[in-house]
Amino acid sequence: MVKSLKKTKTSRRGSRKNIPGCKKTRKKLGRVLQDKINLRQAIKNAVEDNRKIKEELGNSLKRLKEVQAQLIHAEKMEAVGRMASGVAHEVKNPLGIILQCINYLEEELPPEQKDNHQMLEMMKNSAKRADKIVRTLLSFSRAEELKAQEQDINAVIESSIGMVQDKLKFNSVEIIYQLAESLPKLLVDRDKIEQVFINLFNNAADAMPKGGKLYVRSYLTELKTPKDKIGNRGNDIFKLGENAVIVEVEDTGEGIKEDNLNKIFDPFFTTKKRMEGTGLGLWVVKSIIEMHKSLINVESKSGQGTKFTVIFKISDEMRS
Amino acid sequence: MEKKKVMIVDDEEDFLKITKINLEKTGRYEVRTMLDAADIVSEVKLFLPDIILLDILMPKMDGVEVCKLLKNDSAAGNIPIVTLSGLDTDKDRQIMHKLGVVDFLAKPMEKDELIAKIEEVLQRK
Repeated sequence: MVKSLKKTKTSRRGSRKNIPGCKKTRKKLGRVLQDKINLRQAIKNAVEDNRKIKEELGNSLKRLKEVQAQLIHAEKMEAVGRMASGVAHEVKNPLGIILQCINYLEEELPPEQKDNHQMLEMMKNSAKRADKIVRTLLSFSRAEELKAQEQDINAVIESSIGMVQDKLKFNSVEIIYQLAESLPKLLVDRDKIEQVFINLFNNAADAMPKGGKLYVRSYLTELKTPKDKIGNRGNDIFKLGENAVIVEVEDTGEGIKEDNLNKIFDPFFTTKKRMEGTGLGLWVVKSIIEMHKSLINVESKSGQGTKFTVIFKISDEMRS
Repeated sequence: MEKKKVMIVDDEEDFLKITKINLEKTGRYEVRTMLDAADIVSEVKLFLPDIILLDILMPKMDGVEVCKLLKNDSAAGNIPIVTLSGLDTDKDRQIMHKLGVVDFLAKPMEKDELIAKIEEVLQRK
């Protein structure tokens, strides 16, 4: 019985094969299916292409925004320089008059009028502070004043530390040197680079009023990872594969709040008390480093510490 | 002791007043001030100063012009000139040095700094 049933099925199938047009329909169906598969693949490819284009567009937009921000920053700095030169003369003259008037009054006032002498001292300090701000603005608004000579960067670091040693000692800061030997000499303006390190060490001391550790490192490295201003783009300062001398100044102090990290190099930005900081220290640092066609970066975690990394050019570009 | 003669040329009236008062108070200097450098050569010939303190940026005639005038005059040419200026850059110094300026003092300065500079220059004479 089973045998006869199978036979019947086979014969039915066999009979379908022989239906005129069935083979043609199957072929057509196969083609439709293949077209459907191809279409799906094409859509998938198009979606992938679209994703890549979107990603590239996003990267370009990000880069454009960065370049725009850099341009705005550069223009801002140039404007500060122009303004500084313009106002310097006008501000320094009245400051000179104030200081000399204070000198006159200091001699005229009887020594027993201690309160009045204290007032004069405060006036004098304020006038000098105003002068310091104008001088700082003036000094770093002129890139042409760079007096670069070949220098041993470790020697520059050590002489700079010497100038802030008392403050570091007073704040119970332990200095840990990790300076590499036989580093290539750098073509830098020694006075200005000393100013950079003095400002960084001073800031570190201020960040550790109850003590801490100050790590000072120097080493030679090959730049391998693309970062801001490091890469093979037109406006990058360092090319990938280029050798650079790195100086790191790292403290274990109170750190910088995330919101403030992108403002710390702006002129007049300070988190210090009014009479303690002019808000120009790190602006000066960045201006000097940029004058040397080098880079400075900062990493910080609030409550854990701050690390400044200076990437120095060692190629002949500094000689141009 | 004979008082040394100091001539100050500056376009800031108050600066001239207070500097004159402070210097003369020491009893060591006789001070003549000029707000405008237009008649500088004739004034110098009349007063015969031992030293001239000169501002650089002045409206009618600037420090550079004043130096040129003085250095070209046989009577005034040997008087030491010290510039007092708010713009005290290396470039300014180079220009003024070429014109015969012997020293520089950046504004603002305190009375003691000014006196120290005057004495230093007078001793070099």
